Amino acid sequence: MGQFERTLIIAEKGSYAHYVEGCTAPVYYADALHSAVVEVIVKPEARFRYTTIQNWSGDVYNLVTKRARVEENAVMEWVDGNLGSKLTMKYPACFLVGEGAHGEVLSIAYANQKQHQDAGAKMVHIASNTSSIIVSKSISLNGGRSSYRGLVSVSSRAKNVKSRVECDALILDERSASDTFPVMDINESSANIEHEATVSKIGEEKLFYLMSRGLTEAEAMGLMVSGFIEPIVKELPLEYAVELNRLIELEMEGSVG
Amino acid sequence: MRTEYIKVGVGKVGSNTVVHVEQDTQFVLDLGDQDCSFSVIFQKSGVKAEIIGVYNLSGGQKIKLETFAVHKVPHTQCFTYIKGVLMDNSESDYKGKIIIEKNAQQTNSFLEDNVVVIGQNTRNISQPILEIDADDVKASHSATTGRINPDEIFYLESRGLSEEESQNLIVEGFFASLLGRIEDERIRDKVKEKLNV
Repeated sequence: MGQFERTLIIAEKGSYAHYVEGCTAPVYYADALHSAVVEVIVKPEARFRYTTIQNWSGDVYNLVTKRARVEENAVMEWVDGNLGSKLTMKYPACFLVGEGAHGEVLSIAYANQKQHQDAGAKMVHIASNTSSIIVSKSISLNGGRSSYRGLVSVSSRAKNVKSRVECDALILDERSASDTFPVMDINESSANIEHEATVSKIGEEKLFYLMSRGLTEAEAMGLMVSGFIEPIVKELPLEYAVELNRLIELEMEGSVG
Repeated sequence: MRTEYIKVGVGKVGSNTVVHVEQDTQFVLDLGDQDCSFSVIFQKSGVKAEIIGVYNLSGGQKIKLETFAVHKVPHTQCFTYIKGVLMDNSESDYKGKIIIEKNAQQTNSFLEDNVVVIGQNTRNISQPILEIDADDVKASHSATTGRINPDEIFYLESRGLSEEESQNLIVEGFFASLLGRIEDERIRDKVKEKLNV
């Protein structure tokens, strides 16, 4: 099975729009491929947000291209939740071509049994006074692997660029793994670039504290995971935030203890 | 902790210096001007290492550096600190990898890469990489590239320093925080001398 789709969105000057998509798929007998191309053009002073929550079944190869052209003083935001699929390779990109453009990527990856979530973001600063923020949170459990692959590039003509990247990973058990592969390619002298990444497990003390308050181990873990991804979940529309939290609760069930 | 001054990648292109950590050691890198690579491998439990590298590049100089911290056994610690200053037309390319293998539980590994850009026409590539296959670990990295805060220069100028003096003072302070970590005084002086700030 293969699914190929093409999306083109143009946000006209000064407009604001929020596009939300949810992807799910039934289980087929053989591996399936989902290959999508999403392109967004954000005209001057417009603001556009593209939200995806992907919960493909465990036999889907999810290979997606997402990119946006961001013009003067426009804002582009990719909000990306990856829960399902066998392998996801997805790096939403913002090409900041207009002066004062701003790009953001908020991404959550949840890698469970037999899953590899290879997600990330690309910020290409072509014009001056552009800025970008990438926040990536990933969780690996039951032998899952999550990777962050990112690019921040600053062209030699782009002055006063600011960029901040933050990626945090949680590894819930000893069979799971996490990688971080960021690249910063800065060809201009006035850029201000920050990158930070951490990988850790859930603190025993925190877990113990919650359990001493009467929660089971699974509930305590669930609560900590919800707290970990909260900065991104709060950006989602209410229905989606609820759905995402429920999905994670379901996925976590029986995975601990 | 013992301090070792290690020459990496001088004269040879792509030379890789590999050390196995047997006891707690600080490795202070004497960087060449070509491709250099330095690997620290942990095969003995309970040891700790620090990698310290500093560079100050002026007109047209280039540096290409790779460091690896490979944790193969439980209970090891590694801290990598790289600091550099880029003047006109200089270029730095740094890749810093932390690899924590499956058996290497209770590892603590940290990497920090700070670049201060002073000149124009500079290029800086930075790739801090984490590959982690164990769960009970602490691993993190941070990388920054930026200019000196103009407010800091302004403050020093208001105290009577020239722009150049202020800049030099800030650069000196930037390196001093890391040089202060070097426990062996003789090595510290050598590194300072080479930095020429």
